[in-house]
Amino acid sequence: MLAVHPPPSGPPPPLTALATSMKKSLAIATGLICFVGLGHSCSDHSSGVSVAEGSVTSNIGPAGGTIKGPAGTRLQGVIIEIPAGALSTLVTLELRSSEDLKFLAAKAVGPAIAIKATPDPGRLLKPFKIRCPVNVTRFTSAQDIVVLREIRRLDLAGKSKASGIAALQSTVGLSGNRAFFSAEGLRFGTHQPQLLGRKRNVEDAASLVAQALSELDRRSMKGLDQAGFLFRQALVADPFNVEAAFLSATTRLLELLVDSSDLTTGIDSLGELLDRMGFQTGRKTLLNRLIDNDWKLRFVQPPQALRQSEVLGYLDGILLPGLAAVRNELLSVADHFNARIELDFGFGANSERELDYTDLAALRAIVDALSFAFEFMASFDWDIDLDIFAKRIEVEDILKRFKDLGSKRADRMPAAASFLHDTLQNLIETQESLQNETDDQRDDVLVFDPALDQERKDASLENMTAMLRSLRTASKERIRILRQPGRVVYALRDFFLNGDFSPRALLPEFAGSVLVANNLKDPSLAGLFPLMDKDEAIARASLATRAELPRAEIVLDGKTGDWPGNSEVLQPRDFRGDAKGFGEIPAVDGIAFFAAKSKGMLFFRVDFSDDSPRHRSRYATLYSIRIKDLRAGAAGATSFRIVLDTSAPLVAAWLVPPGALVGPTGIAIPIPFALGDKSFELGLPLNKLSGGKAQRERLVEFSLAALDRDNGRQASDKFRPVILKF
Amino acid sequence: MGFLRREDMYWTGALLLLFALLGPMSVLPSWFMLELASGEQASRGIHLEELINVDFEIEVLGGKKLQLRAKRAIPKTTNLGVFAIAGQWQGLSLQGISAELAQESVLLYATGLQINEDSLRFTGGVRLTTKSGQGILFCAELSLSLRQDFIKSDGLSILAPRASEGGRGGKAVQALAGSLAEIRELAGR
Repeated sequence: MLAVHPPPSGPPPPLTALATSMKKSLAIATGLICFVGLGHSCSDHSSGVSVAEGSVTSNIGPAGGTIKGPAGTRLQGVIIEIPAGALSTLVTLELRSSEDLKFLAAKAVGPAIAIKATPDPGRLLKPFKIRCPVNVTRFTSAQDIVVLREIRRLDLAGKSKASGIAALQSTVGLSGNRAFFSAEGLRFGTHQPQLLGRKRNVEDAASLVAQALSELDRRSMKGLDQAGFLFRQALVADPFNVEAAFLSATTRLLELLVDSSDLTTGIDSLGELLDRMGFQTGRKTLLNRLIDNDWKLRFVQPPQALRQSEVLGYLDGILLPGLAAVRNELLSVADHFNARIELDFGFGANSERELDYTDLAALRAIVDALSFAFEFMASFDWDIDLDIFAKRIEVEDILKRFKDLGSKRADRMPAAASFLHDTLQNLIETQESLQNETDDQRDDVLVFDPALDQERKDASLENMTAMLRSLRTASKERIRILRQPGRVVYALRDFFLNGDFSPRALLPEFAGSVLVANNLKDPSLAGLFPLMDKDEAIARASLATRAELPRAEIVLDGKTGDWPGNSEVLQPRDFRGDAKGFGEIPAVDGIAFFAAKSKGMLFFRVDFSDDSPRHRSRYATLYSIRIKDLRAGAAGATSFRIVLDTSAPLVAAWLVPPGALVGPTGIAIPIPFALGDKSFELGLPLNKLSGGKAQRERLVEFSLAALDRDNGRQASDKFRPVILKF
Repeated sequence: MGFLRREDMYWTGALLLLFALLGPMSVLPSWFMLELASGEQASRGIHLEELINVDFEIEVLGGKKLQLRAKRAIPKTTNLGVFAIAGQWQGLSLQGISAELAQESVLLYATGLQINEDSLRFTGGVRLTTKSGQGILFCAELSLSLRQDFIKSDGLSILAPRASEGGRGGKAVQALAGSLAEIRELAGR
């Protein structure tokens, strides 16, 4: 169903019949209308006089449909045909005139047409056809061409991401009478027919691409430089050589990631940045490291700490503009991109591979992901972070400065969010494109992981789509990306600005370098995880907890009735069934940990979910309790290990000094123990602990390792650390 | 609302894809690739989908020759999230391993083997025995350094076991590491 909406106060219909004397005053009126913002662009490419802007909306679904520009407006003569199967869901399509698209060396020869679909379907499953009126009086050369130019706008940050997409998907081209230009496209957006002022030298471009590929084949820095130069020359000869654009973008990206040596001050390569951060890359260039997959980076304390101004100087001056250039080049590659390239996989026999939209979308995703990562990096306070990294300041200082981390340059976050959005969009399109491919897949570069079933693929797509949706639905004022160690959290700004939020609530307390969670103030992380309670936060983050060591007289008899209720020191309990790879092996899933002391003795007890830790001929199992001083710097600081060995028929328990092997060395000291029903208990004479009589806080951790003698498989389990004073 | 794990972003994987376009790039050590390329290995398909009865000799533990036989060798593709690069090997899954360190009169058996740039990692019921069959070590995973005389087992190991009986009668040791001679001494072999 079409609904035509002529603008309520737009300019009058075409006035071609007006006398010449009227044109001047009309032009003034038109200028006034433009001035007060009633129109975007008031030139008319067919008559040189102003006509009405126009808009029309229509609901179109999977069955397809046609939408026409309303008569008497600038869109008169425009026809959009959506074939059946192009859309997977019903969308509201809006067609309206737009301001002229600006491209160098090109002249608009028809109206700019904005096509907006709600919801945005992204890339269509089948190309839609667009016909627009053009006014092409004459060609200056046989190689002049009319192209349909396209620009995409993304809503997230309200800015245009694409500087222009040359969509030379023309199947019909210019009509015989030069009145219309028809083309096909896979994305909605803003389109305008333009006469390209530049000639195409198709053959020259093809020859330059061939030369560049042979340079690339040298696999050297020099070859890479030369190939990049030749690809760019090819694009000068023919801006629509998609292969040249794709490979030029690739080489440009590689050049950005290479650490060329230089004599200038400041950081001007990624290698130099890594070097200044303390990662020594050695003699190899980054490119060679990538080719050889040699990633043995060594971290050494940098002699001079990296300053924030240096990082930002490199990111804003070199890397991010470079990535923007790569992105623009990739955006100039049309969606129908298809090329063949020889790839050498190192076995002497080269194989010709097909590059197609899947690879293009994946490469776009890479560039967007890198842009996101570096934009996100630019939001750090590097001066502080590096100090933390180098352990130059105390934990208390970190806490004081925590509120500053990631907030110094919050203005970078919208751009980071925008790149994250585009990364997800392109990853989704990569997967969808691969899923929809119907040609021979054997020569593709990117395929699905053959080990994955459809369910896993669907789940991945669903996950990315959900994340994209959440980024899109949050308005740009509310969305904000936050930084947390090891992961990226994006959340609604409301939680952080309007809530009763203290950054301190995110962090537990420190005891030395150990995170202690007894006073975890906000396990929901300011509402990011609203259902998370303290116990779950402690368990998931494997945080240590402090516990009091109760006094009790324990008889080591395998019975647990003499253990008081407050002796269960691991709170919350360990997850049931969380042992690794245990399969059939019994008594490897520990669930509860108890401790108590009496005069001269320390007692420990471990409970298991399924069986007693007795000797079984098929399995070898060692149960360990590691005890170490909490403060590494304490005088006489030391550590011990208590081991219960059930691997041999004669089950034994030992106190093992640091560094000693259990059993055969003879250094270990036997200690009393008893096996119970689904538990063991053991006693440790306090006089066996060295380091003086003074009580000190010690970190106590339980772990076990088991080996199935018949199939050679292993199993393990461990508890979170407990801090006890003895 | 939610969080993205780093791996979800495919940053590392995405870079691999990028550089695959320039190939050759393999995480397999170059010496092993050359070995395969020059040998007359039984193989199926142009992309070497599977190798059968792979025999090769390599130097391990800083100069000791290890004769190694794998019943099957299956290439693993480079994975990027749900994607993979066709024909691009991330590694080889070698199965049914038997090996001999002739100089030391030591035999080694394992279910699987992973070849790294500077070490061999044997997995699944790893048995190290003397040539006469006396057990030296039994464990789930064992790494042999290629460059220096260094053997390491991170998990639980049984020293001096009766090899044919799944390591019974030996001493259980956690996180064992040392030279071959040191480990033989501990095992009393």
